Parts: sequence; C-alpha cells; structure tokens
Amino acid sequence: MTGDRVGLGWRPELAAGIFDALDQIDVLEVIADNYLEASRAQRRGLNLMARDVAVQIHSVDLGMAGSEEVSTERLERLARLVHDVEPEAWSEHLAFVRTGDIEIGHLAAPPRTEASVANAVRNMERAARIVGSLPHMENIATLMQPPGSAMSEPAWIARIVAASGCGLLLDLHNLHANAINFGFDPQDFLDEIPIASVHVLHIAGGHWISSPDGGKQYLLDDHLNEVDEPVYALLSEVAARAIQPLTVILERDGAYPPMPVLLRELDGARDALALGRRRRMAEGEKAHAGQV
Amino acid sequence: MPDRFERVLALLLSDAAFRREFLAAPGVVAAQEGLSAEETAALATMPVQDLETAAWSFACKRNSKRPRLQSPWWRNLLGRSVATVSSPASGKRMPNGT
Repeated sequence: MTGDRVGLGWRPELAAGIFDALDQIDVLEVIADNYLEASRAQRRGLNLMARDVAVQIHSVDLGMAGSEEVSTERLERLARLVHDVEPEAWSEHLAFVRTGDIEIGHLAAPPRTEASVANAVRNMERAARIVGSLPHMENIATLMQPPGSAMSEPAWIARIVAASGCGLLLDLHNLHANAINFGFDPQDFLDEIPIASVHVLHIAGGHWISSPDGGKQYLLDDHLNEVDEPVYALLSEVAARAIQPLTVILERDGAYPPMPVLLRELDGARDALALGRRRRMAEGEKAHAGQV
Repeated sequence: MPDRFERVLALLLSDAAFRREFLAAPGVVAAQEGLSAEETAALATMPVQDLETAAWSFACKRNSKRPRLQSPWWRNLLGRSVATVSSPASGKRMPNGT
C-alpha cells in the first residue's frame, strides 16, 4: 500500500463521465479561476463533491513569482472559494502573469534570480496568511528561457522550496516539453529538485508547433492530446525516487475523447507509478543485501 | 512595484509594436525604459525565434480569454445556421496548457 492516487482535472464537459467512473478516480482537481465568481449553489456542489472524492483547487492567475505583490482582492476571492469548497490542498504556478497594467495573458517565466526567489516566497507567505495554507507550487512550460537568469530552473525551484517550505506540484509534461525545447536531460532536473517535496504531479499531452518564421519546432504543452510515453517514463522515475505518496492528475482542457480513453490514461499512470515503486523496492533490497 | 526588467519582458511578450521597436534597436529602447547595460545585453541576446513563438502563444491565450460578442436575439432565433462572430482565422491550434 503506497497511498499513491490518480485522478483528473474536473471539467464540466466531463461531468457525466466523471460521475459514472468515480470508482476509478481517486482525486479531482478544480480550476479555481472558473469558480471565483460562482454562485453559492455551484460552490455548494463542489463542496458536496469534495465529500465524495478528494478535491484539490488549482489556481492559475495569481502570478506568484512576479515582482508585484499579489493583490489582496484576488487572494481573498480564492480564500472564499477554498473556505466554501474545503479542498484537501491548493496549488499555483511559479510564474508571473502581469506587471503593472500589462496583462501577459498566461503563465510567463520570470528571470531566475535571487530577487524572483524572494518575490515568490513573499507572495506565498501572503497567500498562506490569507488563504490559510501554503500552496503546492508548479513548474511551468515555457517557449523562451527567461533572460537575465542567474540560475537553472531546478536550482531556482530548489531555492524557493528551501526558503518557503512549500510542496511541489511537478508537471511532467511541462518538464518534458522544456527538456525537448531547450535540450536538457529531465533526469538532471529531477536530480536537482528536492524530490521529497513533490506531492502532486500533472501529466498531459501536447503537440508540435513551428516558430512564426517556420525555422524551429517546439513541443507545446496544450492539454489537448493524449499523454506521451516519455511522460509516463518520467512518472515511473519520480515514483522510483520518492518515498512519499504521490497524487497524479491528468490534465485535459479540450478536444475531449470518450471517457474510456481518459480512464485508460489514468490506468497508464497507475502502471507507471507501480513500475517505479517496484524499482524503488528492488533497489532498496539490493542496497540492503549489500550492507549485510 | 514591478521591476523595470520584468516590465520590459512583459511588454516584449504582449505588445507586438514594442517588440518590433525593441528588435530593431534594442539599445535605444532599453535605455528609454531605464535598463542597465547588463539588462539590455540579456534581452538583446534572447533567441528571437523563442521570443516570437512565446509572444504568439500568449497572444492566442489573450484572444481566447476575450469576452465574445453576445449574439443578438435574432441569431438565437435563427439558430446555428448563422455563422458566429468570433474566432479569428488561424492556421495554428490554440495553446492551452498550464
């Protein structure tokens, strides 16, 4: 019994299929931003759902690693949602999304510096005071290495975890896509982050795009495609390295396939976790035999 | 207060005219924005393909979040046979991930 769990992102389009398959889904992840203005009835619905199945809240729009303080109003709205739904945990991204009056539109990677480490930690502490708990923080996919960086992404993440005490939500497709697009080995990334802080993992799919001039190909994290094999391999690798229970969430944001396809992907995640756990056990036995 | 470097980075990712201006004369634009020589060099040596692709991806995201025009009552009455007013033509699929 490892305590590992596998679930998927709650999407209204998938509601009927999810309710039919709740015996195969351990956990649901709700996008906070879709419910910040929700009616009391909708929140009550999420709360009732959270009594039947573990629910986590995933926030997208706070900009926790930006140089600006996250607005109190945004944090208070999130706090009300967390209060009403009573999820087991909530999460955000190591990204900035706006600066002053400029809205970037999505998650952007800030320069990886001591200053952005301090920004992220300060915003997390504020969030914890207002929402009531620290979020798990997620690594993002980026199509551009942030200029002005003084450290690698895993070193930056490790610094933030050490300074804040937050847990990590490790997005394996983001890691895979960044590794492909910028030519690094994801195993080195896993070597450098504090693996004991990883509690939640995202898996997803993507597709290839070209730069506007057609000269370079990128793997885009789009959540519109099935999970790639290398992502399952990374999941096995994390399961082989981690002692703690892991929660895996499948992210799918559109082009929804029939529910059996999504459930097959959840089974793929369970198989990958089991493979990694077996490897961990075998390596542990080998090490023990060597000591005796 | 947002720092100046982050502000310029955000402009590069979200404002096509600013990006064109910067790529044509990085030193001039960076000086106007009050960046140091080191900060200017960091931005000026960014791979342009990566910057343009990231900016395209963010533009798609912003467009997808824009509120769609509400259909007038007669469109609802006529149903789906009338084309909708949104969705700019694009050869590429919308990036979606978080």
